[in-house]
Amino acid sequence: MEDLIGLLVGIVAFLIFTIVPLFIWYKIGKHFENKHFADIIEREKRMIDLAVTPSDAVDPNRKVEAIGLVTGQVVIGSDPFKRYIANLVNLIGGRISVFEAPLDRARRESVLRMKEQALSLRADEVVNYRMDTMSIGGKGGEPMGIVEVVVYGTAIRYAKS
Amino acid sequence: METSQLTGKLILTNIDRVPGKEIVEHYGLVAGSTIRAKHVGKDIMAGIKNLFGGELTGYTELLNESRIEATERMIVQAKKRGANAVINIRFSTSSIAQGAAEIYVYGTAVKVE
Repeated sequence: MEDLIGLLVGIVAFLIFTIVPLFIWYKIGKHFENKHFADIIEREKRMIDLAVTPSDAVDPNRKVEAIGLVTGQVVIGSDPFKRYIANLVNLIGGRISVFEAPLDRARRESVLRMKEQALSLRADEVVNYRMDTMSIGGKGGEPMGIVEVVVYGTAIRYAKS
Repeated sequence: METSQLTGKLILTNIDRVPGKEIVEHYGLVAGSTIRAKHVGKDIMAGIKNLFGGELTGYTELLNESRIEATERMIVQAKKRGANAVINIRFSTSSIAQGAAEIYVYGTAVKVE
């Protein structure tokens, strides 16, 4: 009987101190993530006309008026829920899908920042687009500490004919 | 041709030529680097923000400033050699110690006409 009570107390303590906080972190993280994704999608639609290409080809039939280097960067972290799940997945291996969303956010946001900079230079397109992802300052065994995404390219403005 | 707004006088590009212009002289590799430690205040703020996931704005700003500074150093070097453009620019970031990041920018200084 006492064993059973001990077990029950253990289960309740586990629920209160692990599952409930994790659920709260999940909700908070999800809330900010959804808000950010809505913002990203809205801005992507607005800037869809500005072409970004990884090739370095410039239209030979048009006169280039100005060029300039444009960059965009985002440093992103992950919430404790994601880190907890990733630690669990790490035990058995496999796809860590919880980290896909933060990286997607960082990549798309940095491209948008680069596009904003290009638009402020009144550019018509961005060529030779490059992307770098670095893990910075993550502690030894911790999965995904802090990740930096840098994108850059050359903004081209053609002369109006 | 208008010059880049980022630099005032110099043309910066990460493609291997300057469209619409011709490279007349080559001055070799120029580079700039900065090593930044995280700011104590920003570190605490980033620690708090890391509890919620998402972007760590303090670090983004820090790395942005560092990148601009490294680029400026590269530009100074290029100007000293008499270049008016830097082509083939590449960025790299590495974490060299806990809480310190190095930002390295390099490219080829050239004269274009």
